[in-house]
Amino acid sequence: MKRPSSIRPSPIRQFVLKVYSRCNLACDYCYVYQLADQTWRQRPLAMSPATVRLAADRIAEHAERHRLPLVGIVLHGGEPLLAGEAFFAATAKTLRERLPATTAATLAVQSNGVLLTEPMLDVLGEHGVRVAVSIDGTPAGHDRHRRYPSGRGSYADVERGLALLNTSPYRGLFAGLLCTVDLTQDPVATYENMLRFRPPRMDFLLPLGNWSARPPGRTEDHASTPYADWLGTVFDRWYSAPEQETQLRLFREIIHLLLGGVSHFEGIGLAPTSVAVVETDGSIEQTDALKSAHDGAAGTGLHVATHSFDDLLAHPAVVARQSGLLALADQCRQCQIRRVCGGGFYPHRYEAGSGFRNPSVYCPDLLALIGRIRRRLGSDLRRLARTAG
Amino acid sequence: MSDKDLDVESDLVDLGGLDLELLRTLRDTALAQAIHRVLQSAENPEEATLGFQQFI
Repeated sequence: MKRPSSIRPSPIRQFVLKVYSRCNLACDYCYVYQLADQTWRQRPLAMSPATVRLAADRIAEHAERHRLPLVGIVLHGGEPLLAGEAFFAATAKTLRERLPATTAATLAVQSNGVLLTEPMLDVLGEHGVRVAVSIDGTPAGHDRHRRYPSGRGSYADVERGLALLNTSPYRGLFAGLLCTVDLTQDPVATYENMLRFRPPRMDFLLPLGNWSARPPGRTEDHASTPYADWLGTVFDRWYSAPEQETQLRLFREIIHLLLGGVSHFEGIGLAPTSVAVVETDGSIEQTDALKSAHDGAAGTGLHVATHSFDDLLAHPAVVARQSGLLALADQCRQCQIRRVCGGGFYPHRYEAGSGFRNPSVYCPDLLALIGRIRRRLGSDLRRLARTAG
Repeated sequence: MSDKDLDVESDLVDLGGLDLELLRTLRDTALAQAIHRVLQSAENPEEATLGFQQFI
């Protein structure tokens, strides 16, 4: 898509560095290894120090050009902690020292949680790297999908890692928990088990899928809304707590949008995408959940050795994701909830042959969930207004 | 992005008239936090950008 003249490029503010391309788990829904894209096979195991320096310099260049006061850097994978403590110490140092003095950086790692040890947490803490962990609810729910290659479940090891993360020297590093929705698991039990770890924030991700590879349970029946029903049950439990127990990102963002705010994560809303991914070999890519669409779907042909992040902003797919309503399917542009839904998460819109200019494969669920939250919010706010009046 | 794309139509109540005493009665509920957030962002507008979903 060519950038409409009315729309200025929006700078990249979050940089995902794939520091390790392999994983020690074999989760059955993983978009890196189990779905359409197989480019991981050609990548080096770890990001080399030279590539880290190149990436750091490109981030600094972008931050300076766009006068960014803050950037977010997420160390990701594969399983990033496989890169080892020395790698994290050196990488964090390189990233921070190459930024302009006017730009601060938040550093974080998204991990499967099984390699959280005291030595690793000591290094992460020393360098201000926060830790986010993926865990799929209850032991049974988690071990249904998140297993070692041997078939053994990983819950016990994740639980051990999270227990350590919650001890006093490390608690301040705890960023939050991510869970992929499994319709076969009880939603409240899933949520409440994750609450046991006292996450400051959490989120539930819809399984990656699209019109050509439907997610589990997402049939062609538009009247069926299993994911809205599941998430709606969690919403009622979360929202009704006398004191908020954790920040639940999807619900917070939907509420914020309904109240006239703007979203800050790519699963919902119309705001421009602001994410760039750098693979272990230095390739610059789009958000890597696009790997669920087709082989090479996240690729751009760009590399940190030869291209800037401004070159990424000119890529047609990035232009589309920074063009708000203009890039949406006609059906979405006419939809009553378009400014909240935003067409849903971009990878969910894919259909072989027609690309991404489609509604989300989760459209019925998004409509139902946003409607449910809107009704509850509206009812509570009208009651509040009557009290105030 | 044009302002038109950022406008969110809402049939919800105007939050501008809510006073802090009333908000205190909500304690620290999800609703209270949501109202605080939108009032804060009205005073200090945030850049509208979409962050990475595969990280929390």
